[in-house]
Amino acid sequence: MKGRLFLGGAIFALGLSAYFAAEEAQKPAGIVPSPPQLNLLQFLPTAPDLRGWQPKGPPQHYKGEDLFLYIDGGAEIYREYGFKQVIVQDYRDANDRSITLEIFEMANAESAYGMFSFKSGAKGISYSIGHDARLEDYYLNFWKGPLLITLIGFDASAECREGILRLARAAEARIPLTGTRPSLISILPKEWADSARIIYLKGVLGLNNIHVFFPYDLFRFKEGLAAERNSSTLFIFRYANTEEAAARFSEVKKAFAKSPSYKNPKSLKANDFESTDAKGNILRVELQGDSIRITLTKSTVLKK
Amino acid sequence: MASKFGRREFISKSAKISVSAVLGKHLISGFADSPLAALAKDGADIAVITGTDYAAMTAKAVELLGGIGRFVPKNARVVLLPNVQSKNPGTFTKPEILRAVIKMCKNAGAKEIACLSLLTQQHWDGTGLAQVVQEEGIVLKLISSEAANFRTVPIAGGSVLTEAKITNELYNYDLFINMPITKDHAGNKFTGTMKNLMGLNSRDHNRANFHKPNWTTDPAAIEHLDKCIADLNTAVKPTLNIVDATEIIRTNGPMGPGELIKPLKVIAGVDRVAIDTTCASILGLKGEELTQIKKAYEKKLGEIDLTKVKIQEVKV
Repeated sequence: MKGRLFLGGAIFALGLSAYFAAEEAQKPAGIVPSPPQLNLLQFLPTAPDLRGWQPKGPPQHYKGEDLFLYIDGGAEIYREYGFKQVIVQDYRDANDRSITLEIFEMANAESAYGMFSFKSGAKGISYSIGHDARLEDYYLNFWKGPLLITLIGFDASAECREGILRLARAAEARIPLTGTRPSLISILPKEWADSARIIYLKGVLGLNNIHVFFPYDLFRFKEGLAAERNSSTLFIFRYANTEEAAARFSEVKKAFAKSPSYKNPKSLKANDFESTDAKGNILRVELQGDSIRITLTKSTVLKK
Repeated sequence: MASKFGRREFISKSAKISVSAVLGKHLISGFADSPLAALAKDGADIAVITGTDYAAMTAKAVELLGGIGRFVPKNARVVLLPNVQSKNPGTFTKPEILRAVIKMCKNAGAKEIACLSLLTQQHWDGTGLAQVVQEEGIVLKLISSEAANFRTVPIAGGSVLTEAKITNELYNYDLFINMPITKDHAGNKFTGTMKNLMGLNSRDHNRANFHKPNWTTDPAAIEHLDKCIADLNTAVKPTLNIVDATEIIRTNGPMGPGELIKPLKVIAGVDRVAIDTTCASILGLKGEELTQIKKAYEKKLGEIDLTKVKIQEVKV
């Protein structure tokens, strides 16, 4: 037993040191992440922690593009956020009910938070697990350090949700890694802080899942966020510096003026214009320092 | 279940006796070219059934299309393609729907019924679909990824694809029933009848040709995927499509977990473009805004304007 503990500790220490070395050398969150650094096996809860839940079968492990083998035909969004590897373990209870635990290693903590924010809906309940956790009908997402953890239950029953929470807490206890939310979140205006949902963006695919402004990558942002509140959404796209943001704003303004999909462009100030899309939604587009901000107010609200 | 079919079933059963002699492997190449297309013209183009008894809904949908005999002649060898993406709720075709289709095919006198899949036994076990296959005594054919298991099917006039790599096994059957679940897709926003056909095309080919190298995720790469889906659908034409729109995910597709919505519908028909346009509307999307549907319409694979389609909606 002692030998096993020693071996486990050594693997864990190796994993940690590799992780911190990788963090040291890490580039800004990017599209091409470095290879997996962590031994994800060490984070899987085992029987003594689980009170009634047992691992079922061996874990599955997918790295890099092999994610396509796990998420057949739909792994692109993970790639955009900087996926490195995932380990998947099924658990079952005495009644053969199952819960699946997925631990994704992402490029860094920002990427893990980003994927967490993308996967979490507005209707869930927050829990104090990891840095942020959200339980929805039959599944829970939380993130800690560069890891996104997803637990998927068999249904939305109280028993299932209890099992999910128990497994989530057991996994969390095994993850000593830490991370902080992207700094972009902190520049969200106060009036948007209580948004029902805030999604951190790393690319146009995530953006297009929320709203398609143009059928191509017009904004080319380094990072972004979308905050949804009632029937309005605030988008913030951040660039490397103010010059790049200003140049991009100029392109954005031209694109809105030329596009048949937008009407009534109206310059309010030098760095601020308004337009209406084909559905009657009003868009206010502003250049603010190193960011472009768009406030989209849905036509359904405007008609009230 | 057969007793529910009524007069139309009787007529189509009678009619199929006269046409069964001309049926054969050509059916796989397209229902529209088949003599069966002339049958049951009084049926709906698309049947949309709402309810909670998924088996009864499936049977009713096929009944409204003219009955199972319109599609499955006696002694036919039938292959089914349900979606077995994952065991996450709202991501796979419901076992009750698969069972209902198998029973209908049996009642129609099918000689052989099989499910095809490029995924694993684990996928089938997790979704409960393997149990249905076993209990109904039909065959599950899991196709491994070796190149020899797939044949090259030229795609004339493809927007981006010049060929598909379709599983050889498909061609051992007389007709093919496509059984997707409609749901969100975080890449191209929508999964329906047409995207499900990627489940017949070699996974290596899907990965190398449908998805851009290095996992590019810009809109051009997503449009490329959609064009590939439309091209693929010119190479394989299902005899019938039966879509699970009962409990489906509207976020984080195709695998989920995601927000589960319950439209409680089964949708059936032949026209993939019209069906997918109908299914897209359930997810709050418009067919003309989805590249895969728009491209398929441009390729004359079906009708995108639902005012030109006879849709029959029934609650059971």
